[in-house]
Amino acid sequence: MTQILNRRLVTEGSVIFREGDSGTSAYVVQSGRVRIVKGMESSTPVLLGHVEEGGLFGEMALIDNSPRMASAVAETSAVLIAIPEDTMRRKLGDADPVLRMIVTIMIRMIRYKSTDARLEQSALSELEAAAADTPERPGDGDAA
Amino acid sequence: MTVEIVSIRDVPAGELLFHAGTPATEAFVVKEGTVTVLAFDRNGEERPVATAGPGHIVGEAALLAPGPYPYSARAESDTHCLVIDRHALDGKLDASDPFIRALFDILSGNLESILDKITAADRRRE
Repeated sequence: MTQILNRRLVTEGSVIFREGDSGTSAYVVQSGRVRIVKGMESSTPVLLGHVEEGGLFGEMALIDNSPRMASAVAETSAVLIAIPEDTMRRKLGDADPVLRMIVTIMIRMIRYKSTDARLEQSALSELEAAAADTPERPGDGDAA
Repeated sequence: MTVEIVSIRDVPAGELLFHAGTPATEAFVVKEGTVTVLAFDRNGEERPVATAGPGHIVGEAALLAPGPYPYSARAESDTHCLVIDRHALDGKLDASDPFIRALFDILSGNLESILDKITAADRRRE
């Protein structure tokens, strides 16, 4: 993998990151196509999808500190723009805490497939505190 | 009255949080209590298919592209929920850093495609 500043040229078939790795960057596809595969080294790999030009991938491990949930492989030769972890954290850190929480919820759902997603008590309390902080809110049982 | 992105709602036992087929505008994070997820079977009858407890999310369709709830949810016991209002969320996203809006849209698309895959796999199993 050749790295020039934030830009990376990857050749067809090269592995950008592996499932289980700890994440240090998210990537935007500037050109080419990337394949996201779960269980790549198992006997039953599952293709989760493709990321095309303009698409972002690898963002999830940076947000919730979990290992990479899948592997990313260049399907064609591709040019990627790496978004470093600290940039991602800064952007999220500057965002409204409620938005940050909702982004985290969505990542949990994607990781654990919807109904298996469960927020731990600390996340629930944080979200509840955010809700309770707001000066006006519909009353309990109100159909907003 | 301004609707906040996240509000607190208590749903008494037996009441529906939302109905299948109605526009998905609110997602629910269960804080306390138990919620039953009801889906239509082949005969068009609604039957319980899953249970959600503290920390679980129901009505996640409200976080995807606009559309109806694919299932209903009923409070099994008195339930304390955190309700995410999609309309208010969109307002906040539109007013924030485009990076956050783009991130949300990407996550929303990813979640939708994963849920579609699960639904397709469930259908094949039936």
